[in-house]
Parts: sequence; structure tokens; C-alpha cells
Amino acid sequence: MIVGPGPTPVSWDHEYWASAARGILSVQRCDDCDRLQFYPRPMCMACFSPRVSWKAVSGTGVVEACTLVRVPVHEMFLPDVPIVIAEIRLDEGVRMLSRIVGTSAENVDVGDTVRVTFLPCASGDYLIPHFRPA
Amino acid sequence: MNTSSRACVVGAAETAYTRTSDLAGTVLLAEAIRLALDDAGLSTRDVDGLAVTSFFNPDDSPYVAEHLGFELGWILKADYGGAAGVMSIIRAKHAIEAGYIDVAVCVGGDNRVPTLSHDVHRPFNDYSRRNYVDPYGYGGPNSLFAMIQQRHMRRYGTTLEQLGKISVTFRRHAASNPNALLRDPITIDDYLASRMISDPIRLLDCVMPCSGAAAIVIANEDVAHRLGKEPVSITNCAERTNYLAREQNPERITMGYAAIKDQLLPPGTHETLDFLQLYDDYPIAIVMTLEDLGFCEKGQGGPFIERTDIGVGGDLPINTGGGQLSCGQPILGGGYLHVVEAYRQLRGHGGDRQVEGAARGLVTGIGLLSYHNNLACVAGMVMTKEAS
Repeated sequence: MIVGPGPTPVSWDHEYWASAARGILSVQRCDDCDRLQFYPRPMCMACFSPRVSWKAVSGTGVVEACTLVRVPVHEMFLPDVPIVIAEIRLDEGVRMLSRIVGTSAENVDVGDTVRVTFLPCASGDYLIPHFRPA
Repeated sequence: MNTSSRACVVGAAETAYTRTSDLAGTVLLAEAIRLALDDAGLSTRDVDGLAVTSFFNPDDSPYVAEHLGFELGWILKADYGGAAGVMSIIRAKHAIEAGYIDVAVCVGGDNRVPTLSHDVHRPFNDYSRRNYVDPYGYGGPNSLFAMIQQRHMRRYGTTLEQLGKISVTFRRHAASNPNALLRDPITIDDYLASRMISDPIRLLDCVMPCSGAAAIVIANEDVAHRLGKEPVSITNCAERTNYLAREQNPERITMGYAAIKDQLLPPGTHETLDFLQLYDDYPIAIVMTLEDLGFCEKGQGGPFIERTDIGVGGDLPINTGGGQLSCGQPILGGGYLHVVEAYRQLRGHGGDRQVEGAARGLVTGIGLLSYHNNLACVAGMVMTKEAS
């Protein structure tokens, strides 16, 4: 299975990748208004506070929407098609785009419960959060 | 001479839309400018404002203008994706009506396969894409709209037949548009049988990327009168960028049009429109646009399409030139081609696809796709020809 290209961490998402390396999925939480957010940013989207910390989440969620990708943007993924891409609502309430693995593509549907699983990118430098049926 | 007066559209034109072109992107832009100024009866020396939209970035806009030989009192690089056609014209209108300039040209387009190293493909939406999307084998806009369409079908019961009617009707319109790339008729069965790209998005839901450019000339009313044109003015306009961005999980199947509906189309306006030129990157975008702008209740866009004749000669003609679904998507010229077709209809130059008595129409644009909220930019304007 193809995973990658690997990320290019930025100053405000180092902890996301450090957590992933320990098998923990983390999202940002605003120190001032408690709002959770994903994807990572250098401030809170809701109140613009620069004080954002990291919160480990349960790693389970529900498929809100999904699609079988037959034509990936990056040709490196062609050997893997169809690829299941999903928008997942984590139990903590934030939405995340990811790929569903560990089942045949046709078996994934809206409403499915899924759990995070970490797969190494091609370079081996980073573990990337994916999801599989819970 | 800066005189404050109402802004009017006085010219519009497009190159033919072709799958590939030997011309550099900047040369396509120049060709569209030349054709639009010819249509207006003006020369480049009359132009003191220029807005440029191009995805394969030809350079910073002052360098593009210098390359083309323009000295200007107003310049804009309109980087609003498919909404840039409408949004650049709104900005030009405001500049003209403030008395800041007299004549502006707004131009957008690209060569699909850049022929020169001048034309570079910059990374876009890199904040989210690089680390949180690219590692997964995503299918780009096709996948984003696939999940939007899936949500719409599940929540509201929207059918493939309703969506397919949009593609089939636009293709029929394109048959009489010599600039359109795709002119062979298609049937609903062709639509249903077309190959899956990112379920449930099929090939005939997708625009065909192509090469080409389109330009619009806007001038103050004095210039319009001097040219002997009956004024085509922009009577209503509105835009929204990053609708619901501060919400934790913004709604995916309502667009920013919901926030600008009354500014763009005050109650009573809908019935006065003779045609709609709606940004059509996918048929589901048309359905959501109709809902969010109040042509029908939210969720009822599918049945609305089913019971409405959206063809030329019908109840509510939509995308009379074939839209992007049949003209092709000249990359970021895609938001401009709808404006050209609207102007053509208002001038009565629609040929076999002319909407009889067309005096008022709506043009919309949708620009850029977001990770968090729905679509970054939406914009619309009502173009009205006044009785002379």
C-alpha cells in the first residue's frame, strides 16, 4: 500500500507528528475558548488566540462522507485505486479527511465507525494517521 | 478624465476553447483582450484599469501589464479561482463608479499545458494540502464534490437523473456555440454510463480542462454613450469568502450564497431574470446554487431541475452557451466565460441559442475549494440591459 508523500512539518504542527510517532492522534485546543480544531494552524480559528495546545483524542469516529478515488491527483497512488477517502467526524466533534484501509473499498459506507491506525510514509520518517473499521 | 458615473459593460469576448494550444497563457489573455476591445469599439489606449486572472501564474500583474504594454491607473490580480470573473468585475465597477478610472478590462484564462517556463504551476491551498491531504491519494476537486454530492443525495434524495439532465441540457446548448470544446450531443444514458471518477462523480459530471481566455470591458456611462451602446449595467452584486469559516464543523452542502441571497436577489428579483449563467464545475453545484439563492427550498434543487425546462426557450434557461461542462474549463478563464455568454445574450447575439427578449440575467462564480469549510468564494451579479 502506498503512503505518502511524507509531510513537511511546520513550526505549529510538530506536535501532531510527534504524537503520531507515539501512536496518538492529537488535535489542537484553544487555551482561551476551548475550541478544538483540525487541520493545525498557528492560532485559534474561532477567537484568533495564539495560545493553542494539543489534546490527545480517542482516535475513533464516524464516516460522514466517503468516495472511491479512481483518478488520484498524484500518480504515485495509481497502483492502489480505488482508494477510499473519507471525511470522518471524530468522537470529540472535529472533522478530518483521511483514508480508510484494512477493508475492501466497497465495504465502506457513511455511518461506519472507524479507528485510527498509523502507517509509515514511503521515506519511513513519519507515521501518517489512517483509519480502519472499528 | 475621471468623471463619476455608473459603470456599464461595453464589450466581451472569448477565444475558442481548445483542448491544447501552442500559445503561451499570456498570448491567450492578449487575444481575449483584443477581441473584447474590438467588440467594445475601444483600443488599449482607452484602458486605464486591468484585472488579470490566471492559474499558471504568468507573473505579478504589473509585469503582465508591462509585457502587454498597458499604462494603468488601477490594476488587480484577481486570485479568486472560478469566482474571479464576477469578483474582478465587481471591483472594476466600484473603481469606475468612484470616479477612479474610466475603462477597465477584466481578463482570465490559461493554457492547460503551459508551453513556456514563464508559466509556472504554483502550489495552492498548501496550508492544508501538503501535510493533511497529499499523503492519502486524494482525487482533488472530483473527490471533494463527490462527498458533497453523496451528502446531498443521502440527505435530500437528489437523483442521478436530475443531475444528468443538467449535463445533457448544457451539451445541447453547446451545439450552437462555435467556441465550445464539447459539442456532440449526449443522452441521459450516456451520462449514467460514463465512467466513474470518484464515486458518485462520473466523467460527465466533470468539466474538461482546456485552453482559452475570456475578457470583459467595463466603462463609465459617458464612454458607453459615446460608443452608442445601450447600457448594460450591474444592478445587484454580492460575494462571500469563507462562509462559516469560524464554525468547528461548517455545513458542507450549503454554500456562501445563503449568506448573500437577499443582497444579490432581493425578494421579487428571481421572477425578473430571463436567464441564469451559473458556475458549473459540477451539476451538483448548480443544484446547490439554485437552492441557496432561493430559487427553491433547500434540498429541493433536484425536483426543481426535474420540473423546470432549463433549456433555451424553456421556463428558466441556464448556461445558454453550454457552461463549462460543455465549453470546457479554460482553467481560471472558467469564471469569465459565463459573463461573456450573459453579455452576448443581453446584446441579442446568441444566434440559435438566443433567449428571446433577454434583458436581465444572473451570473455566478464559485472559487477555490477549502479543507475546512465548503468552497472558498462565491459571487454573483445581475446584469441588466435598459430599454433605449
